[in-house]
Amino acid sequence: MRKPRDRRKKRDLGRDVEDALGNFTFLWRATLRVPRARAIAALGTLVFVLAMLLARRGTAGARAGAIAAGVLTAAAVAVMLLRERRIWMDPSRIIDRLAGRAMPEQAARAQRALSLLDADGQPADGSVSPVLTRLHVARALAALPGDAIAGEATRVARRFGLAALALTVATIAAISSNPWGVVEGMDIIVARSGAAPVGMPWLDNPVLTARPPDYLHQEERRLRLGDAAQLPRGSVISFRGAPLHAGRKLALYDGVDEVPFVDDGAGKVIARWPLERSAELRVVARFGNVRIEDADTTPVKSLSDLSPVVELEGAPRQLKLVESAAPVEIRYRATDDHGLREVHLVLRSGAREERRVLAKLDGETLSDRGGYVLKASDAFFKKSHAPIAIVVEAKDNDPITGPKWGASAAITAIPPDVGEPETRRLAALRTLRDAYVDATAHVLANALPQLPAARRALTDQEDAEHLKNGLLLDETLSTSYAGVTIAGRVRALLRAQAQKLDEAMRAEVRAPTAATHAALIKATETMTLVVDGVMRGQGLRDARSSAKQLVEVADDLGLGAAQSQRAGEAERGGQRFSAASIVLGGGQRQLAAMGVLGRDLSGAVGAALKRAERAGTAGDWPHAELAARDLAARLRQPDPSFGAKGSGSGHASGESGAAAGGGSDEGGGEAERAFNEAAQDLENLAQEHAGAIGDVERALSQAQSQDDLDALRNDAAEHAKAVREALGAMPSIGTGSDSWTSKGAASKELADQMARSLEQGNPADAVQSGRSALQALDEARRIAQRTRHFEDDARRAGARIEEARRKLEPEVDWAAKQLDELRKKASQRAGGELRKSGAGEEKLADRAGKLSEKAREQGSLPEPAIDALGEAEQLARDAARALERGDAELAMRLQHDAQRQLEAARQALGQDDGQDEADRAREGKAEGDDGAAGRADIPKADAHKGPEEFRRRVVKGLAQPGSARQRDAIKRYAEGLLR
Amino acid sequence: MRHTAATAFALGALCTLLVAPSRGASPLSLLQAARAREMILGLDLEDARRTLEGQPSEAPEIPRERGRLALYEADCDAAASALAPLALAKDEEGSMLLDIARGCARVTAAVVEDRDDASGVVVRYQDEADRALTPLIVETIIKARTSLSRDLGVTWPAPMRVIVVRDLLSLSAMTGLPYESAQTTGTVAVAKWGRVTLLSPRASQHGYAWRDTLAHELTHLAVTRLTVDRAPLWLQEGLAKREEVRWRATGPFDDRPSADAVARRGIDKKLDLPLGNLGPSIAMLPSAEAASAAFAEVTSFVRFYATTAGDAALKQLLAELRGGKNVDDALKVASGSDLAGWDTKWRAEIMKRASEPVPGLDPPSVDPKALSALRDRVRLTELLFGREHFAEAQTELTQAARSPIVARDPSFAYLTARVTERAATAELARASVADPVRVAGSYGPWWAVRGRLAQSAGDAAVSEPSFIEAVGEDPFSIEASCRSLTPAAPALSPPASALCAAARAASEPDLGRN
Repeated sequence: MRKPRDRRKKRDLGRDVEDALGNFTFLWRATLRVPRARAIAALGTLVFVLAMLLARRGTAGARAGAIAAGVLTAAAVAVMLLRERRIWMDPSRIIDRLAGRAMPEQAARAQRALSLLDADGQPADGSVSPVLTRLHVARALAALPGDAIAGEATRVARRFGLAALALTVATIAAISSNPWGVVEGMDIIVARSGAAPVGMPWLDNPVLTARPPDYLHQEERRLRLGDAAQLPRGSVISFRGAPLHAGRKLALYDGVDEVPFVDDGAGKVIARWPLERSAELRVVARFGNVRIEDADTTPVKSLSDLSPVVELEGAPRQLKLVESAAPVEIRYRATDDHGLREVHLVLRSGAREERRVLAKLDGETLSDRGGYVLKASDAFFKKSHAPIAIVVEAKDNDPITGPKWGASAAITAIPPDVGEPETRRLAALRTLRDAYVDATAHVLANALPQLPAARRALTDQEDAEHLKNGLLLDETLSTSYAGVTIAGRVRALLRAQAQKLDEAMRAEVRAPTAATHAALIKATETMTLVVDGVMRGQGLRDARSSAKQLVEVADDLGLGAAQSQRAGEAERGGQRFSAASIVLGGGQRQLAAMGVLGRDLSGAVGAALKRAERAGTAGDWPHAELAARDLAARLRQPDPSFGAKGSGSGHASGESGAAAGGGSDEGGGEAERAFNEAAQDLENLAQEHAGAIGDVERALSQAQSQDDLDALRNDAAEHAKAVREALGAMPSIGTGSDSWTSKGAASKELADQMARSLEQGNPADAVQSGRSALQALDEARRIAQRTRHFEDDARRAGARIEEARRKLEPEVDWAAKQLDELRKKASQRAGGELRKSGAGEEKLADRAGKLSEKAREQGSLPEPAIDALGEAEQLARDAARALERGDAELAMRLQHDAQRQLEAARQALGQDDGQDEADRAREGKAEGDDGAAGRADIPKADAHKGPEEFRRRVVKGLAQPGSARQRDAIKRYAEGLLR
Repeated sequence: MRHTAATAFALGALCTLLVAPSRGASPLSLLQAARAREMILGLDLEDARRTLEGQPSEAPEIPRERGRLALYEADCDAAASALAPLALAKDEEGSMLLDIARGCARVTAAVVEDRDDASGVVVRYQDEADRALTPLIVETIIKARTSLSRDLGVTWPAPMRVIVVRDLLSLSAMTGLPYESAQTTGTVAVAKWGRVTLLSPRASQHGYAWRDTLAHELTHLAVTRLTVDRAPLWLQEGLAKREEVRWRATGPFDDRPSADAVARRGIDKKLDLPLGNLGPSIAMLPSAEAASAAFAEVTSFVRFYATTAGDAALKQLLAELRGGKNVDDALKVASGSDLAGWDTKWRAEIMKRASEPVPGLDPPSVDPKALSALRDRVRLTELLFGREHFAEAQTELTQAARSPIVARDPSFAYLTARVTERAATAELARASVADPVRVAGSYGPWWAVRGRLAQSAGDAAVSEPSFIEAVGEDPFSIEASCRSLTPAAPALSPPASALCAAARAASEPDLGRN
């Protein structure tokens, strides 16, 4: 069995044979060694260069390709060398290599001879002598032609030399196409994390500049490459320079972002870096996924625009609103590093927030200082029952990151419990009532003695008590109870009754008889009942309004419970729930002191609150929410728990219970009813009289002849032009509300209105505007005279104002004259209508007289109201006579005077009292809620003329030019509306 | 009777099958739903539950009955969940039930519950301060159940559920009775959805006859159970008025004013309504006066029927209605005459009575000014009393007493007793409230002052029943429940002591101090 031949082991053929082959082998290898090494080196270099150029593309594929090319080439060379080495270990293959191609016959003969020996150098045929066999083989090998072999070796060597030359040429060509690229490729191929390890400069003489954001109004500045810099956020940093190597994608890089360089059109490249955060900037060249960074970095620190700083005087602190009705004075100072845009007063309570603009600035003002007064009766305070955070917030002008707000420390206002001020007011009324109950007991208990001295002593004592109670009444009526006061109408009612009691007391002091004592008893009893009625009525209203206020809190309780059920909001929900619970608890305590309805509602609040809190404590938030909603629903209907809507109490007469008496009366008795009746009469009278004035104006307007108006319009064109020219020198825009320019601008505007009215044939409005313009000019002159800062300007302004006034005055006189003439003519035409109006006016005068008389008899209205009614009656009678005569102008003047007296009478009843308005507003909201939820009677069009009359007056008022005196106020009002 | 009932049910079920919308419901399911409904209305809730078990919910009938069952079991959350899909499907009855379930869930969320398993009574309180009423409620229910079982032959499912609400708004939400109607007619309790919803006596300023009201409402539940809710309104209310006082001993104010007199007055004033046309509920009549006339009418009529035809005829009438007969047929079977016949007989009987003024409903005509002056005088008396000017209060009271208006007014009698006690003597005060006949109607404070004055005189025979009456009207009055006006109350039993504590916690101010 033939053993497998070991290919790695050299065959031992015997010395003769090996010598014969060794000579040829040496010759061959010596001839080829150098040319072949050169060819391999040239190939390696070329492959390397090409691989680097490929790697420079920077992509993962390119880099892998380059590495693969190098590795493959090396492997190929190694394989070739290994193969070569093996050839030289095998005599048969050596013969093929040396002579196989050039001398095939000799080579074949040598191979045949060689085949006589096996792998171990022994004769293949064991019967043959080994020595002879080896000798035969050696001779056969020696017979190979040495020259031919040497010639073949020389040819092969020449081929290697040529190949090496060609490869070298190719390498040089590759390098010369992008010499720096090979270096870049070398850097790139060893890159880690997208960055090449060796930095390279990319720009020649780079120039760095930084331009701060426009809103800072700062100059551009130069930076030095590599030097640290601090710049405002939003600055734009420019790098400009000539690229050292063309064709590279250059960019600015901070480790995160890149901004590419672009051609600046002047042979250089530029990149602009907007500074948003601190960064170390460097120039990089981008090769696919790999960048080669410039070794020089420029660290830049971004300076943020700081939030405004606001200082609120006295903050932080706490104040209790219930303890003082004094307003909260807000004084602040806001500063910013670059500029302020707005300053707000911000009020926050629970989930509510209200912002009020304190200042609007130009965005460049670095500091603002100002103040504000928050009254105890502020609507936000009234609506809030959780602690109120009062802060001042200022907004800067940063357009880069958006305006930023800076906030001051907070003044925390602790509002009273819901209903606490009202409870205080009720307590005061209760004290007053008790005093009068005691007074009633006193006069009931003490009959007039027979002896004059004793009688005098008693009346003195009673008078002293009376005076004391009078003082208590004054104090009760004038006190503010944590922001609420006794309503004006109630004050009027109580004063009217007190007046009657005064009279009874004076009568008894003058003549102490049984009759005067009985009258005093009666008056005291009435006073007691009126105060009692007022107190209970107030309690009823307060309970209702407090309940309505608590609706929001109960809703908040429900929202808190609902939030607590949502993941992520549980904590906030719990806090909201707790805050609402506290407020409701406070409200419950206060309601309990508000009479029958208040106690009833207080119990309802307490019961529902316990349910909600019990569920909340157990983590049963859905039921806590339902209980809160139940409470809110109850408070939305602040009726007695049992009984008819609107009554203060109820007594069951239900489905199966026995019928029984109704609830107690919460009214104020006969006196209050008389007061209400008289007040209603007065209200109706004032409204109807206002309507009568409107009728006269309408009659006069309708009586104006179109021909007269056309004639006036023709003449007026010239005068309108003159009016405009007269005020031409006045400024169009004022520089401040208290400057002469402002008044001058107002006068110009008014004069323009006058001119327009003249052109429209409306002399009445023209006269009014003209007179207002003259007033504005007078004011402008006064301001100009007292202004010291601009003496020259003021002196010049004085002359201009004088000139304008001199020109305007005759035009106003002319318009007034035209108006008089038009009215006279209209009066003549409207004679019949005016007489009819006169009769109506006379009737209204009669009504005023009767009302005044009745009120005096019953003591149902206070004295000032009665006096004003008397005045109104007299003026209305005079007006009626003037209308009869056809003197429309006088009649209208008198009618307006009469109307003013009627309004004065209404005011004496507290009709326009501020507190009334506040109370009405609060209750109006409550009633509004009712209206939304329940039924509301819709009055017929002719049922009540007040709104129509009011609309008419408003429309007329808006159509007329305003006086310069009120111009600023109107402007502020209009701004407020718009805001 | 059983055969008739089965036929009626089968016919009803067939009709249901014929008219029921298909919507994927199997006829068997609809049949089961109809059966369950009958069971629920008859308060056989366990049977209804078993019937509904495993029924598919494709058709609205099954979830509707499931919701109804939950509502009857006072599980309002479950009822709302079951019924919510029906509202989306615009199922009218389902939406109505859902509204009530939601109202109920809101009102009863996190309320406290007192359970007396031995008596089979469960009471929930919207205001936990009312819990002191539990012993009295349980006692009333036990007595009323006994009385009703005796009179009508009813058996009672357990538990009996009562919910005490704090106000009319909650009563309305719990029952579906419109709030305006509840206010207008002064409804204080409703028996519906398998439970009694009772207004807390604290809701009314001086309470109301809440124990009688509870008995009244239990009668409604009994009649509903006996007739599977097929009893007409006149029978429901007439029986309830009859039974509301039969659970206890007769009181001095029972049938005062007489139902016959009020009914006669109603007929005279054309306030009477045909018995068969009283509308859905007396609580929904347009005024308290109309409700009062209707109550008197039905009370008088049922009393006349029971007296004339006998108690057995009453029970048979209920049984015939349960069997599915209409009212006329049922009346004919039970008593030989239909409704029109009975109405004619009753009216003839009523018209035999002489017309008479009804105190409370026919006040003597008074000059409004005099009435106003009287009111002022009474108020002054209260105020002077409140400031402890007792003699002066007596002066005012004396003047007020001259008015004939106050002659039989129990509240004025109460005021008189209080003032006289302090201004004169307790003996005189006791005399002023000695005789219930001298006042027109029952009034909690009147009973309370009567009891207290009698107690101080050692007259337990008067004081005990007076206090019981007082608590039956106004349990949260200190004078009634503590039997004293001072903090030093006499020794009371634990339940009475709890009620006294609840009354003190209510802290209603005493006379003239409000």
